[in-house]
Amino acid sequence: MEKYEGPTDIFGIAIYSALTRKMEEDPEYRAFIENLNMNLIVELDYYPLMIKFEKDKFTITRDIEDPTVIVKINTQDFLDIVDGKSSIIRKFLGRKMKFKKGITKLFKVYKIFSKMM
Amino acid sequence: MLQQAETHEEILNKLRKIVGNEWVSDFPEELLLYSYDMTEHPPSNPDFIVMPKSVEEIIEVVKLANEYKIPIVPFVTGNNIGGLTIPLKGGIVLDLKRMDRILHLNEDDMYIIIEPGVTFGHLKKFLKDTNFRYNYPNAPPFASVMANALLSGLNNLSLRYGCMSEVINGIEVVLPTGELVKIGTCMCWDKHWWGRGPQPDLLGLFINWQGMTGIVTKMALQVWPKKPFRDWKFILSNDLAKTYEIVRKLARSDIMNDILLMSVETIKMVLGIPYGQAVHLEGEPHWATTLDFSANTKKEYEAKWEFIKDTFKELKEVDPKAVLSSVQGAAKMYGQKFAEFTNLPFTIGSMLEYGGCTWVGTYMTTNIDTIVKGVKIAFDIIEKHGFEKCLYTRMMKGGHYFAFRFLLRFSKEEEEEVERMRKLNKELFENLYELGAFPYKTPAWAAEEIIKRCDPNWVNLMHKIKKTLDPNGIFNPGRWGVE
Repeated sequence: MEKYEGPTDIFGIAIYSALTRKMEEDPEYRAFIENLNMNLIVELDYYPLMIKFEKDKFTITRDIEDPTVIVKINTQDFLDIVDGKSSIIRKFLGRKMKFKKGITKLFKVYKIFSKMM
Repeated sequence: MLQQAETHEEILNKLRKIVGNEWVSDFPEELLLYSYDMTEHPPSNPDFIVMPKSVEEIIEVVKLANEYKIPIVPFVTGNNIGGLTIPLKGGIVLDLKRMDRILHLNEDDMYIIIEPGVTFGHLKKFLKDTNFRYNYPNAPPFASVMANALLSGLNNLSLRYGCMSEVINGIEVVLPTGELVKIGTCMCWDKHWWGRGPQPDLLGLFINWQGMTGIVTKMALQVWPKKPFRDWKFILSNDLAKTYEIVRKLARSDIMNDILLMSVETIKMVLGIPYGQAVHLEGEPHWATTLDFSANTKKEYEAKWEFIKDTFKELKEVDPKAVLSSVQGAAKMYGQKFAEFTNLPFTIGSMLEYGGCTWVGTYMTTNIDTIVKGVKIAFDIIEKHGFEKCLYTRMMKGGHYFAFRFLLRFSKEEEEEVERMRKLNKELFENLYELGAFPYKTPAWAAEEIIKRCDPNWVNLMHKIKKTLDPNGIFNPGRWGVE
């Protein structure tokens, strides 16, 4: 079996799986992700997660350090976006998705999640 | 070995005459393959492997076994997770997978007639282009449909119809003395296999007997019309009592196909998290529930969906972080493995790759307090023995009873770990039995424990029936305390 190097928490697995799969399918998205350099914190109501983007790789961890961007969203709102019942823009404008830090990275965050889903 | 070398050769030659040289084996390498399964049950070698192609060949093998008084154990894929096809007393393992025809689909009375070697994969492919659906387990596509029904397996329409033995219309069976008998309406007419009654229902002589009373060669099983609308939702939650309460409410509403209530550890295992790492982490939701429902019209679908959402609100009041979403949406994130929940049967690779997988799977009362207590007790026991708490439960037959079980993986390479798993299963059995949980696909050791505890007159009656049907005691001996 292939060695599993991803996160083992239930939401980390979801984001890791979706990101990895999309990067395999879409070279342009892969290039975009591999050129990011930031610590993106997703504050779900269950627990926060950090997606650490570094040159050519990303990791997902529950240990938060040096956040570049902090996005706060309820799990239900996040799942509604995944489900196609709502969109990132709608959640953002409806203040269901809030930037606690790093709003200048809004478009990058938008691109990470909109393409991933 | 049961026989002297000369007798062994004699039996071998006679078996070859019955089924042909290439369908009999006593090669040690092949005997080894039939001596064990994925569970913690100790291996035991057969003396011969025989693969018949017809009912006539089975009858001849049974007559031969009576002549030499050697055991026969029916086998298809040995995927039962109860050690039920391990030949405890040696003898012949009768591998039925060459008898793999789907003989008939009756569209008027909605049933199929199958042979024992038909697998869920075969059946799904066969029904794909028809208007009918069957009822599939969370099991690999190579599992036997007939064995699953005879052993009261639980499938993805079991909330509607109960365990799979409840959807058998009739059987053709070879008795331990070699007679061929039909049970059900097919006893009167070859072309009518639509039901079990109103004649005395003798099917109970063969259901859950684990091949101790007969080798079933044909079986009629109900199928149901496909519905144009079908959907799957899932819930993540923390409060077990309230989650279970809404599961029970939805089950009783008579609108659902299937409801699974699982620990989050089970989801992680299905998603491929390696052995030992499928554990609950602080802050995570504890429970995942999948909801399967279907409808004839869009309006009916929407009405059902509204009811589900309203019921979910009751959970949300007590468990504010609980979420409701679609399985398809989750599959966008988690990928194909998660989508397989909607596309049974399927193989959970991560469950089997360490060589060992087992459970104490039980049917039990739906009482809320008992279930919550059962989970707590079982989790404590599993944690004490150092395994993953992969709970997998299903509401059965409109909420009349509950399937409560664990999917426990372990490494078969470590004898210490195998022994620890045996202890764990025994402890789980002892504690859950006290709560009214009865192990299905009952392993021999659990059957012996039940016999010590249950009505002795039931045991006497079972022994009398067994003695009457199988006077030489050759059909799968060592099960249910019968030597």
